[in-house]
Amino acid sequence: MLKRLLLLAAFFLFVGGVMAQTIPSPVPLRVPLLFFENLEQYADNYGGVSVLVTNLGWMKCPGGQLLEGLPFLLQMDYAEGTGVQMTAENVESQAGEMENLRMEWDPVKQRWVIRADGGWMENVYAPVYMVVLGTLRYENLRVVLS
Amino acid sequence: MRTLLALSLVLLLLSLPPVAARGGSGTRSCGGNSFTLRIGVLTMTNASGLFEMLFGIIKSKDVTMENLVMEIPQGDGTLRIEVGHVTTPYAVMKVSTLQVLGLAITHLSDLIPLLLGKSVTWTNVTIVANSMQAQNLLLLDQLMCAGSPDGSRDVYIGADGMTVSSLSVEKVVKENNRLSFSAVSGGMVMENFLQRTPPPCMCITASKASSPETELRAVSIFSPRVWMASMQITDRPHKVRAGGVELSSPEIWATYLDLSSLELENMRVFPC
Repeated sequence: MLKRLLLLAAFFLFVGGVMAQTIPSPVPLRVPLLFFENLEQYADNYGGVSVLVTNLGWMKCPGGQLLEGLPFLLQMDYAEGTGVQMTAENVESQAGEMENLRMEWDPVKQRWVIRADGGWMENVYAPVYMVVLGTLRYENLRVVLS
Repeated sequence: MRTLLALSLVLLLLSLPPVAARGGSGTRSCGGNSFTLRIGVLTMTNASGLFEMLFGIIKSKDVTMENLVMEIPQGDGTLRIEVGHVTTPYAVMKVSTLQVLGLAITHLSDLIPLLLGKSVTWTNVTIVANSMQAQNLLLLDQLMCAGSPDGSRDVYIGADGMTVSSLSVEKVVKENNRLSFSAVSGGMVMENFLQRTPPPCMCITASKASSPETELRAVSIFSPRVWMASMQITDRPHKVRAGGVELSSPEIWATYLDLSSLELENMRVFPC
């Protein structure tokens, strides 16, 4: 009986472990300075994990950006993109400004959303699960094996 | 007979509300649109002359109020301000002459000390006022509300401290059966700011948040300690205006928030 229970417990632990591993660990994204337009942020669910979704109509990183923690580092001196969607654990910034910031109920999304017409953030750090870019223009892209 | 007639006429004129006596619109009723103050314990020193009092101007010094409830009709509802303890060195209130006479009759024994500028203490006082203004107010356990917060629908905003250079409560609005009051503030700074939405929960924290202009539709604002350099409740339409406001540990439940520009230090946005 004890053997069966142990086997059952081991099975559930294995299944739980496999399910937990379906979402890869987030990758740290660091941006020294970020300018943006049409920001939208809301809480969502990604593979059973609570995440923060950030949509940016337009963004510019004049100081470059860095994705680390991958088998390689992704670094560029300048990046400008449109239609950016970032799914992250959270977003941190040392300082920033948001223009015409609203916190409002979105009847379509059925949740509260933060919207801002524009702004900037300094020393941005975000552990990201996924980044989707509509368009991207970059300068001096470097891929370094880590 | 003539003297009696003249006296009756004077009494009739005095009993008219200040607006009507000034020749204001006759369609405006005095009592219906005025705001009400219910005070548990009121201590004050009179600073107005007899004629000012007869014309409904009550000037008072060294005012202390305990368990104050103000009900101010605005827009679609009533703004309610509850305060545990209030102190102000100077306040002016405009009421109807009938109200003055009513207060005088119910506190006849205090009439002479009041006119001699002595401090008096009254309990369970109800005053119906048209307007008021006060300076250097200290309010303890202050709650400003238009309805009851619903944590499953309202946004929570908290901070260790909050200062606003100007605050104006314009009206009470009813949206989707929710009552809230529209407040516009200028020069807002919040220390250790936290904003949390209902589920799916999202939080914003910042060590400092500042905005030159904020529009807020709030269900309630609570603070254990509020200091105001000045406060005014205007004559109809009644608007609450305050200047130089400092709130310690404010707790705000809001239905909508709009900031013209927000500067954040050490910001973190995360699902919670």
